[in-house]
Amino acid sequence: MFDMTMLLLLLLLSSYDYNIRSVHTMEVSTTLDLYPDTTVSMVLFSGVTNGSEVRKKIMDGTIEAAVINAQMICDPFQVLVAVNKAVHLDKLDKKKTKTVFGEILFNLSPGNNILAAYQKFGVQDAERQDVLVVLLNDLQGQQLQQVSNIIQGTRIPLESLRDIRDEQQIIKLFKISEAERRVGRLEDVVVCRMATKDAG
Amino acid sequence: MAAKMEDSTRGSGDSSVSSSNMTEIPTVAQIIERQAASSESSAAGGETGPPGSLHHPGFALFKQGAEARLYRGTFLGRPTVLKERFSKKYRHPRLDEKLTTKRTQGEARTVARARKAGIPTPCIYFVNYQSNCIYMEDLRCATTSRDYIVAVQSVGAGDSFRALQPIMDKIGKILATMHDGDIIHGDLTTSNIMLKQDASATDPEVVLIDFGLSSVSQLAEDKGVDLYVLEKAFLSTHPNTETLFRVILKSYTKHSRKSKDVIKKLDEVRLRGRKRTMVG
Repeated sequence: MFDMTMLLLLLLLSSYDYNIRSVHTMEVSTTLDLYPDTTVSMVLFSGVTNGSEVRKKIMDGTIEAAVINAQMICDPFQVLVAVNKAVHLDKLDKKKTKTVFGEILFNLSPGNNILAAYQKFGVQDAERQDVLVVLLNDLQGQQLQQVSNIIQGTRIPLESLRDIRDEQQIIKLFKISEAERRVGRLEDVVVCRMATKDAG
Repeated sequence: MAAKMEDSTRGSGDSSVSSSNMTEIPTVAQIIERQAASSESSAAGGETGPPGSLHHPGFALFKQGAEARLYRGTFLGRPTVLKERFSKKYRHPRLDEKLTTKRTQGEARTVARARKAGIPTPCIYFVNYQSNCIYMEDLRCATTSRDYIVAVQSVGAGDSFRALQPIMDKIGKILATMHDGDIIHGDLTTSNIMLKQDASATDPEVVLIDFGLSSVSQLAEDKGVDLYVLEKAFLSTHPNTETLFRVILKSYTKHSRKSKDVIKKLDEVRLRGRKRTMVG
């Protein structure tokens, strides 16, 4: 009998551990190396049905986050690179857009047209979509709570981003030639483009 | 004996063999491993670093050049090299600022252009135009072609040519692609031509670095000078390598669509002296 209860206890504890782990990969928080006072949180939502409502709430300022079309993202690293640049320009007051979140979307885009960047990389008007939400300095988790209450979708692990990404669309938008594609991983090709966009 | 030589020249990704046998030609993977092992043991105080790295927390200085300092560290979870261009105090401050920014911008622009043409370069992660810092990928599993050529030649085996030929072939091909894209590297040396070989790769890959002096030009003259610079650097760093360099040129001619004029110009430049463009 004693052994059985121990076994059950162990099973219970290990499943509890598993839950903790999976909760952690649902929301990934990291600080920017160059701006250690800035914490970045990324959460992935699948099957979001109220895209238009979410967009309205972003435009009227209710939601203070970058809500990104997950299909257009290769890797979380790419998002961090966009956030880093946005925070950098924000601190210098040299952003091209009005908010740091708008700047994140603009940085993700290959072009210099802000509206086009929002349209391609922001939350879509679609009936169903996957979105990546980026929050800044949400240390207590309050912003995430608020956003979760508004977004009608399921939180899934950040790792799923790789399955969601639409490589063909990304290659087409960035006009990546076959030669350039062979230089390295897709996320590196895109990141390098992002980083050198304003070099002329 | 013959079997051993075949193994050495294949250049496979077998890095599990640490060659203490000094008559055996090392593979690229072995040299990379050797360098990684020796840098690990001497990396102890890497984090604190000398005074120059104080304003880059988390980065340690590892090279100082005439124009820039190089630091190693981590950026957003990735191993990163930070290239910081510093101001030259002897210049007029306004001019200095403009020049330094222009060089940083130019380097970023050329790297983008090179990649579009299919030239492997380190991936740039972030450019800070205020401090003229470029944060880029730290090439793991890589060594300079300089170090590899030196290592192969130091073994003194008779078939070093056979070991190095495929790599010279690849270098020629990359340079051809680069010049066909009208990109002039500007500082071609064997230290700026890296050889990368991951554990999974069967062959080493050529990666170009340091586009600080690069430019864009369609002129065969400029491309010829670019090759001439490499030839001088090659022959002075690695004695008795004329035949090796010829492999580069042969491969270049084979892979370039505009090589005839370039090689012609190279011959002309050789005859008349160093880096003269004879314009104006």
